[in-house]
Amino acid sequence: MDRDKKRRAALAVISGTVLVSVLTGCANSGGTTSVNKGTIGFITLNQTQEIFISQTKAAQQWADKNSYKLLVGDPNNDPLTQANIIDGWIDSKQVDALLIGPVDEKALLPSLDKANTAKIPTIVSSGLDKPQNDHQGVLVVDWNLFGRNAGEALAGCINERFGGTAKIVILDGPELPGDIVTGRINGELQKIKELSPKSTVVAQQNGQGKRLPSLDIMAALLLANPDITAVTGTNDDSMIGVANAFKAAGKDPSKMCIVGLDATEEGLALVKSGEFYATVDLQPIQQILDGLKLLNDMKAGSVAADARRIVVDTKIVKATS
Amino acid sequence: MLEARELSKSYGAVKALDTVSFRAVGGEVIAIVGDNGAGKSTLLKVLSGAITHDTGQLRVGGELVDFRSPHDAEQVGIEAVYQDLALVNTLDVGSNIFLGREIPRKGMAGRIGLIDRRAMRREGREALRDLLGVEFPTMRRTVEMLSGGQRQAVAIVRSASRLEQRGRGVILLDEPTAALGVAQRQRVGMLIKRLASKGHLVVIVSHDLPTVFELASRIFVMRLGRLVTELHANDSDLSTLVGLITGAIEPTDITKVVADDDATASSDINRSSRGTK
Amino acid sequence: MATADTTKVVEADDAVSAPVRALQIGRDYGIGGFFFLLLLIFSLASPTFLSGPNLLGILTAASVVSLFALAEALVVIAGAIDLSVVPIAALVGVIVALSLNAGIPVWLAVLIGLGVGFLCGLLNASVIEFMNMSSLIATLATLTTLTGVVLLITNGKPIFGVTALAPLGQGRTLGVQNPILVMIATYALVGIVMSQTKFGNRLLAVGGNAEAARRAGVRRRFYVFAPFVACGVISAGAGIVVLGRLGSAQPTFANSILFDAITAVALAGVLLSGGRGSILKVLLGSLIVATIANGLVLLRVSSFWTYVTTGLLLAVAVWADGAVSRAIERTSLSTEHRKEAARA
Repeated sequence: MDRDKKRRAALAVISGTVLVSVLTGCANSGGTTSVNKGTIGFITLNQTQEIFISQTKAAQQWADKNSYKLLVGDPNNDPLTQANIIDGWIDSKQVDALLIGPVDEKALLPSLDKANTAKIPTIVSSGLDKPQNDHQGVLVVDWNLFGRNAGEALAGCINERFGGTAKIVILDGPELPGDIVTGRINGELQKIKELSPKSTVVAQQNGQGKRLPSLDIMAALLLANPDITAVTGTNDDSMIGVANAFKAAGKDPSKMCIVGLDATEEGLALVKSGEFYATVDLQPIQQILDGLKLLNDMKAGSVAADARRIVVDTKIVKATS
Repeated sequence: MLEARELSKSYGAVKALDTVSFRAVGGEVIAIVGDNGAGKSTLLKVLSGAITHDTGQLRVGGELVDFRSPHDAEQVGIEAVYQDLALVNTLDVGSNIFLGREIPRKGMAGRIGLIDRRAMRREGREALRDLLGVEFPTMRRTVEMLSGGQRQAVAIVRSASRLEQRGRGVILLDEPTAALGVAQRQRVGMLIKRLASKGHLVVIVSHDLPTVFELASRIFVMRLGRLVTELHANDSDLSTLVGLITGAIEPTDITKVVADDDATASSDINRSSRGTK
Repeated sequence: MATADTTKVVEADDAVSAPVRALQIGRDYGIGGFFFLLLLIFSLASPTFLSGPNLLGILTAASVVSLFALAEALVVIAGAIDLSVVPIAALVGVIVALSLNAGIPVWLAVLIGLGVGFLCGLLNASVIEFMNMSSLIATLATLTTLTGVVLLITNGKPIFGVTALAPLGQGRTLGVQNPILVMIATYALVGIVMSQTKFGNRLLAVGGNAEAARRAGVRRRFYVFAPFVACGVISAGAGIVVLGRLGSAQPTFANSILFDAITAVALAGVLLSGGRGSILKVLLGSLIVATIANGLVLLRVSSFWTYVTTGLLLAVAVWADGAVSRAIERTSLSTEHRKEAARA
């Protein structure tokens, strides 16, 4: 009896949670203007990381201004959930257009075919090199290039501050499918090898893309190898942990070489203060706005294939630049 | 010391207790026996305050009592030890004996909630020795490491030491020898006799008839909620008792009138038991 | 037997046999032995490992996870579980950071933070007690809700440039990092409360056998609320230490932290069924988790092995604990029966 009661309570909570997430996640519609040009399904990796939240915000503002409704999905970094949300939108005819930042583009191919069959204009942000069909546009984000930029900045710093030789640490993770993390890391390693051949990567560890684990790992590494001077990895957040570890070890981060990625608000502030040598900007807001504009054009009429391929610019941000 | 007059308790149409009356005094061991559903557990729960009777009177030490909770019963010196013993397996013997009335440290430390574990172990050991005549090798051992007999001893001494604080009282034991081996059963039997010799009234509810014969001076037989008869252990035998429990023998079949010769016991059984066939 | 001398003092059976005792010793001291084995292996494998600065580094890294583990342990001892410790810390970190940035004095901001932790614990316990919900489900709901609340407050952005707590998080006293001192002080306090006070004794009793505790006159409801409230406050403390260490408040923490904390609690032999718990062992469990992470970094083993090791450790710890308890139960009963048989 009691157990049954508990089970029922559990069900109630779970269904309540689902309901709430449906309400907040999917029915996040904006645009109260009288003319409605349709609904855009907007889905990125998650709605918990700063970069995606700011993208969503920008997309919402754009939609409001341009008389679109925006449906926001949150797959919480799960490729299957993402595919399910998109399939659901298409099947229930809830969306007239899609802007997708794939968790794993390969897992998404059936859903993209489905969108094509339904003739729904779709923008795929990162992962695809060129449009696969007439209803698709792509934002080409080259994660490897992103990483190469970071590697280039790091090598530049090593040349500038340490005469071209340094012991380097790479903090990778979190474990995302697809190319998002591995692309960055591979690009970094490639450029380091190319531009700073005398340097060595002494450790590659999982900072989980977060500052606290990165801090603890870096603190341990600095004890074993006190002569580590250069660090990069997945993002600004983990490099913030690194900067703290240098400080805890009594070293001035601004005399080291720390290169972040993503150009978050905090990352940019640290570049300005000198603790980061550089961060790499993927211009996340601009790429989303470009994508939405293309989507708007595609809805209005057919757009030539090469105009449906936008290459996202990456940019190294240094204190001096 | 403990007197019940026409206690009744019904659950809907079922009379779990039907005008049960008896009297017992300190120093006695009495047993309540009966088949499943005869009402012995209900009687035990009424006596311990776990449930409240519908009609009838209950007197403890001559005072009319009205229990609303086990706490009320404990207030007048009635302690119950149920079959599950209600011990915390993961705590040591001392902590179990003094759970709920931990001994505070002296002075300021005690006032901020610090407890004196050493005193709890020492006093627990003394209680086991004085009240039950049991010596434990160590009081630090957790209850899960104890044998069945030792656990029973801990549960009994916890109740007994509570009674001890207020002089004499009543201790109700629910199936004290269930799930015990022969040697353990004998040991628990000795504990029970010793408790009675300290002047407490011990009430046993049990299926274990040989042990009941061995321990109790008087045996109350219940059937269908009624207390049908009382036997003096010295003057009766096992087959008569079994017959009375099952209904094969009626109380009226017993020709020999029980002599009130036990110096410590006096009884007033409602032997007429209205409606007995 | 009917004429037994009822005044004779009898020696109670010493029912504990050698195998049971061995199992008990294994359960009681196994974790300490394992910790020293770990120290031995790593110090042989890495010259840096046993250096003073690295040991202090392990303790500093352990300070946060050990506070989470301690918070979790109190709830687990009481027979429940709390999945919301990490978002409570995140919420507290954010609120304290915002308070400090708004110019509120440090002591008040810390007090506000601990108060928020207190309220979160109160919320968890209330949901469990008054809505008759299992702690797993109730705190899972809190976990999700609080994560959302923190993201709403911060918009997903960390709050940075919080320097007021740097002395707490980054400073040293007599050469020892302050987070380590916070950890030691908290463990000492909770350790004394659990082992030396009426409260600790009764909390263990409620966790071990709630019905027995109730019959002994223990107010059950108080001991449902108290561990969750204490858990909330200690989690809040962890959040404040993190804020001090990083100088910024993150809206979300790394996923591994809750897992590490629960592993530490399991290593301590605080059974998920409650009632058992040595605070010192919880500290040892946390140190083991932090030591493995540190040692594998020093040995430059791929960090994926940290996951594998910690995961296996959790499984083995829980399995061993359960197996030993069952074996003790079984063996002590069978010993009893063997003795019976020998007498017969």
